[in-house]
Amino acid sequence: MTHLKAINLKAHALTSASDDEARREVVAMQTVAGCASTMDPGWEVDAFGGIASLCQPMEADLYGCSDPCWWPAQVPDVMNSYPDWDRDKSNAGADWRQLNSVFPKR
Amino acid sequence: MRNILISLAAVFLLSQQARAEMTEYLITGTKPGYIHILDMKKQEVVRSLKIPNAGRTVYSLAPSRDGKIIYVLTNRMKSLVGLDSDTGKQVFRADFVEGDIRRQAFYAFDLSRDGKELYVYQLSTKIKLSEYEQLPTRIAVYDTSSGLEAKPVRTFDAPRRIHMLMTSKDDKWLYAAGFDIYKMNPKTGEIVETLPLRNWTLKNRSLPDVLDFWPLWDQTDIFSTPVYSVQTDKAADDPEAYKTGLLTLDLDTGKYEIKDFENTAVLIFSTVISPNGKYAFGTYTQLTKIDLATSRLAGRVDQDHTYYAVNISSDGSQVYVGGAACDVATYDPDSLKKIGQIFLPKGCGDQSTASLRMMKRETLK
Repeated sequence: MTHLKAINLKAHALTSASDDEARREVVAMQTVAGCASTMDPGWEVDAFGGIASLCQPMEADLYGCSDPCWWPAQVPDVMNSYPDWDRDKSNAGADWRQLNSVFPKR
Repeated sequence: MRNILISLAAVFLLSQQARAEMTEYLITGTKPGYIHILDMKKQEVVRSLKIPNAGRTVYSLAPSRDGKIIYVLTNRMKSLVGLDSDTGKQVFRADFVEGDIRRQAFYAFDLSRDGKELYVYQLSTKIKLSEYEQLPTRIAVYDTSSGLEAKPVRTFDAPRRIHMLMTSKDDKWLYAAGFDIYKMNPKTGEIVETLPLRNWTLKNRSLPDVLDFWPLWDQTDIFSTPVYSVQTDKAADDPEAYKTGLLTLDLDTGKYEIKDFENTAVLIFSTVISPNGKYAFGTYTQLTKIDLATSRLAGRVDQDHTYYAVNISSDGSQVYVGGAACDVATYDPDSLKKIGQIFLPKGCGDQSTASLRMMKRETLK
């Protein structure tokens, strides 16, 4: 680090943040910034480590999870990142075959 | 004397005609952005209202007390809309995004009992060039007469993790359910009391697990929700260690209780208290009936599929389950037999996490 010099605002912010005086409190995000408004397990396995308590059928829970950005990665975040994922596919039980994987936008 | 009696009779008959006929309705929402008004006693959908610019999402609902306006959180939690239930017209709209500040309301909103104010819990994120800046969580208050470009008339900071707002029956208080339940002054935002939930002090008990953003207190003014916890003085593989309780908060008296009713056997997402106060009903993949006098399980049946939300008629004769998929089923509260099922129109879109509310209003023509 002694051979690196900060030359823009972001770099200056990073170097000054290492100073104890400059640290700010880090809080878990209370926001819906991308995906995961919560870290509540219960899709691949239920709270008991099995599958009996998962929603029946799984499709009953699909939009209940993507609409509020409930889980990381299992369903796309339609709140901010992939708002068109469920366009013209309003019934998960009937339309699930048409739902596609999503990839980061370039 | 005879003329007086005839006049009195005429006045009585005229007053009967003038009194409007009232009907109880159930309201729910479906993708890609409809509110449906159902007459459950007739088992039919009476109206379907299209929400403008809904972003194909319908979340929390709150009808005005006269049932004339239905407020709905929509547009990926970025807008609150009020629809006239007679005409379907949008009569209120508040869009939360403001410049580079993205605001969303995570389910939590409620209408004051006098219909004049809306309280909305907002999460705000400033979108910068290469980072997000989290802004303080807050409650924004809107005047319901503000029309289609409503802005908050006041705001106040609120604790994090709020997912339910509940106005007290006398409009004096606003209860905010988060880690604990905060009793707030809706004019100033002052927290006057904290009802312990996450910070409960039960001996030999784990932290509680609560998930509930379904406002279902229409018939009794009692908010209820299941609470899951573990008795830490029992072995981890002992089924008796795992407890399901029922939390109740009376929005009229302020009475707050949490009582276990069974060793955890099934999940329950939401519960409703019967109008006679004797039972609670819960739903998820089973319909559960709880005897409140004994705090014991009173009955349980498998449903056709998972539902998220449960409500009940004002006479207590029918229990309704909805949410998740595209149907609302009706059950007999005594036998727990399914006695009806309505598949929602406009493409049978999923209800997802839309609320299931009851309202009474002049019969829709």
